[in-house]
Amino acid sequence: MITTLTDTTASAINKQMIEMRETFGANTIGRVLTLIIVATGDVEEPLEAAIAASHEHPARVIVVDAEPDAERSGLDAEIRVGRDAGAGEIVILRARGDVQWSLDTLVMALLLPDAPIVTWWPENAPSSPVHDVLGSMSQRRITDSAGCQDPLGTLKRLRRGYASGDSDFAWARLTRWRGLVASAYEVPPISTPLKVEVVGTVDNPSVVLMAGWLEHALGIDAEVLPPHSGDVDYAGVHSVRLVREDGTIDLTRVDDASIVMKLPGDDTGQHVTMPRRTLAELITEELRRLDPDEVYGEVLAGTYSSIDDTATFAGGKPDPVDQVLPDADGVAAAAAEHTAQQLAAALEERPIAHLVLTGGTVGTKTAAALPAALESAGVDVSRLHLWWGDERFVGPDSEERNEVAVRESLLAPLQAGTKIPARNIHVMPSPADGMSLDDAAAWYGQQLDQMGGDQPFRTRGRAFFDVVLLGVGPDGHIASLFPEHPDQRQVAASAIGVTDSPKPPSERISLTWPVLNSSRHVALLVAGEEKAGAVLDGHRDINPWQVPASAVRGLQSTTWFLDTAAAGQLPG
Amino acid sequence: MTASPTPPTGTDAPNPLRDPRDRRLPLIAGPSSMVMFGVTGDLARKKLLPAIYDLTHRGLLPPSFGLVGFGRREWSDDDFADYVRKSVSEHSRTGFDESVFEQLRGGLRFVTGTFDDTAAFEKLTEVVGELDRTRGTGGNHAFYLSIPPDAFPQVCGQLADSGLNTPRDGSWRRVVIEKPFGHDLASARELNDVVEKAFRPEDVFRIDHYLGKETVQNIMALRFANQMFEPIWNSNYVDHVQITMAEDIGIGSRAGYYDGIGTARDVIQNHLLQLLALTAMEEPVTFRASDLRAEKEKVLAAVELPEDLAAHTARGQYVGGWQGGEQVRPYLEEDGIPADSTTETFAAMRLDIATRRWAGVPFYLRAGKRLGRRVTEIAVVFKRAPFLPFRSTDTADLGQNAIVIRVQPDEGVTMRFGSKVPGTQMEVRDVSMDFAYGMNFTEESPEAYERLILDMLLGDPPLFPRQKEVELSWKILDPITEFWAENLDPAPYRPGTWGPDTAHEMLALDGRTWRRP
Repeated sequence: MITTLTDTTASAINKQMIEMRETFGANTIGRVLTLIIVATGDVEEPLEAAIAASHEHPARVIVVDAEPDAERSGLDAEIRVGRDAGAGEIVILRARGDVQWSLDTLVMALLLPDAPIVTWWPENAPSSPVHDVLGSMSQRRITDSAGCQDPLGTLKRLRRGYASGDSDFAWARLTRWRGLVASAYEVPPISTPLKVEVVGTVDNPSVVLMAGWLEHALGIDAEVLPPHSGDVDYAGVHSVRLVREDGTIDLTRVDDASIVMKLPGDDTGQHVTMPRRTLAELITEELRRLDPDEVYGEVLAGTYSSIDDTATFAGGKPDPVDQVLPDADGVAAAAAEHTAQQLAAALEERPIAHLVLTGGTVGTKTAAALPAALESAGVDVSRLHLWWGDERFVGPDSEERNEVAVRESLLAPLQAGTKIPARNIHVMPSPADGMSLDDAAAWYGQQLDQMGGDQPFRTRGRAFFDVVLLGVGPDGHIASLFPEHPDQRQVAASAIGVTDSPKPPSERISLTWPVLNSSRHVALLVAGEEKAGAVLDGHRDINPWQVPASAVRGLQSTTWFLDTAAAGQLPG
Repeated sequence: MTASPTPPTGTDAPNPLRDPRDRRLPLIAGPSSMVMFGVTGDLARKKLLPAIYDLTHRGLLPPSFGLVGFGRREWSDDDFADYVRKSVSEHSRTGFDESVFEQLRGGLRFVTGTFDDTAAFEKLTEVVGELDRTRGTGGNHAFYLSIPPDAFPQVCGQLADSGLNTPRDGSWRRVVIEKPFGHDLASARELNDVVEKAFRPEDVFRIDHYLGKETVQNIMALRFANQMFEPIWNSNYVDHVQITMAEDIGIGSRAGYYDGIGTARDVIQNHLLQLLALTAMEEPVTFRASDLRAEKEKVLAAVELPEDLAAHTARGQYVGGWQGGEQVRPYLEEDGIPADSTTETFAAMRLDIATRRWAGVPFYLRAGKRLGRRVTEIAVVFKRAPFLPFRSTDTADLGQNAIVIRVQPDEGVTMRFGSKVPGTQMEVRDVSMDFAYGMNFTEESPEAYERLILDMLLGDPPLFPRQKEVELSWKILDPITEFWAENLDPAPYRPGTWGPDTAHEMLALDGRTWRRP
């Protein structure tokens, strides 16, 4: 039984579901959880797996399929019950255009009362599942790093953003492997291995986690080796070898359905059937337990050390260069021209370009100079996305807001003649949007994730933004990352709420180190003698804790736009 | 309810790869083999062999697992493999996969012989030793006696004589026996003596497949994991409890076993009294086997029989007729049943439990064949509300509240309570609220035998009754069957009904009626 609703609302969908239940009696079975699947494009494959899993875990399945680029905003839904939904009931939500800006309210009316929520991203894992708007309301968050473009990069990001309750299919794919290794280990006589080897595709997240698990459990280093060139190419783990004094426990995959296990003193080996796990088996296993998988968390944490040193995000990139101009207006004009050129170059290579704006005197002047600069550089502003590096969390029309300061000078001219679509201007929320500071920050982080898909926020080799403009405070702060302020240590989320900022107003939203460092070009805009000391410190070694201005670097370039006063303390 | 955080693995050293918090990691049985007596029987063919295959398919048996068939047939290992293949391809739950079967096949052996053939047991010793050497089964062997109890003395004697019962350095030997565990207290003790002469008590695993069922284990989850049931789970609120195990089929091909045994010994002594124990027992201190058994034994020891056995027990035998569109034979005309048999095919009884919790709350047990439908359930029926602030006509349709645990089929829990009928009048009527495990639950949940065989190989005993429980159950049943043998012939009942009139009279006497399950 499939019902389709076009241009509908969450409450209409809910009403329709109750009606279907009353009319067809199709949903009389107790549901134990709500499973939210965040899919883009092809939803049928994960859906089939969810239907299969529903036989063991009767669930309401909500598929969220966002289409941000749709011309007309709106919501379409498809409700499937009965034979078309296994033991579950399915709602597919197609959020067109701006509807996706509030995904949480979309699913809120459709969640089962009190029942646990599990969110599953079959691809495009968010940079930090727990900070995702849907992830934050879920007990369990399931990603599949192997389904992302850069599996290992994704796994690293998931490590950074890990919170209790996260898990990844790369881990679930190992369950039967791990069971077999554990029981092979138990065959008497038991002895501790001297050496552990894991053979497999080196960039496969399951291989990395297998090695991590063995290291974590056995306390000895596990070596990851690539498969021999002659080996058949299986994705994932090829072999696990525990080398002991009395011989080697060797488990090796010999074909897609089986592995051979050799124990010390047994060279013929025993054949074990172990087919690759299907998506349905994986999601079924994940749903079996809704408490956090602590062992996964520990293995992940052991596999990738945490980034305690936030300097890492800026390291390994070209050194900054200086451009010294006579005064603040000169700085603004030069920075605007530079920005316009970089954006023009970006649009020649990619369909869209991302610019991060800043506040402050010079930042505002630069913004004012941008419309003209963009026009003369021939930038098609309709393909531009505007973001803010930070924002004060005050009323939407307050003079203190960075966005308000550029409304007249930048936003109005760019919008005149509807050149830049309103949805491309990503304004940070204010208290008037009805969100708490942290919710507002998480919401903004999700906007970034949704625009970037799996891409945000690499700080190495790739970048999300094209140009990040940053003002620098006399204390050396950038965005709302202040020197020696504990909030700047948060790197799991893309955007954070900052409280107790040394400069009023005290509540702000700021992008974080890894996000600001994910740019091709960074421009630091400084004018005035009072900032000369900060400029000097910013030119020294990368030191995010004490001198934030030293710790943002662009992949291709970092440029200090300075007036002579601000450059005053720099060595000749 | 697997209580032990780390499974015994043949050695005491904990495995660093088994973190108790790692709940994903499957518990795979250690290196071992199983020797099956009675491998050509119905149970082995339809349940045990498929369960072993399904465990292999789920990756829960060790790759080295060996399975030795013992029987009279002149079979080679290959003949035996063909037989196993046929059995599992017809009856496996998880679907036949050639590759899985190949893995199992490497460990299949067959030994031809009769139970009195000492040479055959010597051969068996050799085969088991060969498995230890070539497959690495580590000297761990389970002996599954899927044979009539009268063959136990011979087989156990042979196992003892050949030394197969004796483990060596850190390995184990276990024996698995199926119900019936005797047919009365004396025979149960005798049987146990025979088995325990060859095996230590903790190495004897008595399989009551009912205890492997998910719903039965859920009784404990329902009672002890929740706050909302336990406070009312006593004589202050409960009026009485009905435990029903009904089958819609006749005795089929079990005539040889069934006649002379009857329903009470066949299912009440084990299944129904176990369900009663789980429903009525106090909260165990932990879910370790010993603590769980202690509580079950306490409650079984507190069971009291009715004073008037004629009035408070009932006994029936089905007659012939049309049942649900099918003409069926009377019990007395079933193949192999003597025409003057007085074996009952229906049994019902009232039991009381002399504890503070249950004093005055009767437990009514009934079981039978050719009843209305196939169902096993426990119904806890509550007292009526002491005062109803409605007009009596408003609540004319209101029955007693009940919590029904449906064991099979359609596993789940039903609650019955009064609800206002929509409309302008105040009218209260009974409604049912259902919890089901999901419509395809039975397909996904492991067969009871899989669970039990795996637990046995892991040495995890909570789901296996101990001799003490068996003896306590016989102590409850023996006076009733003795009374019946002397004073009460089975009353006839029509197939497809809920038993003889005497069963209904038995409850009417107490002012109650049987629930229609």
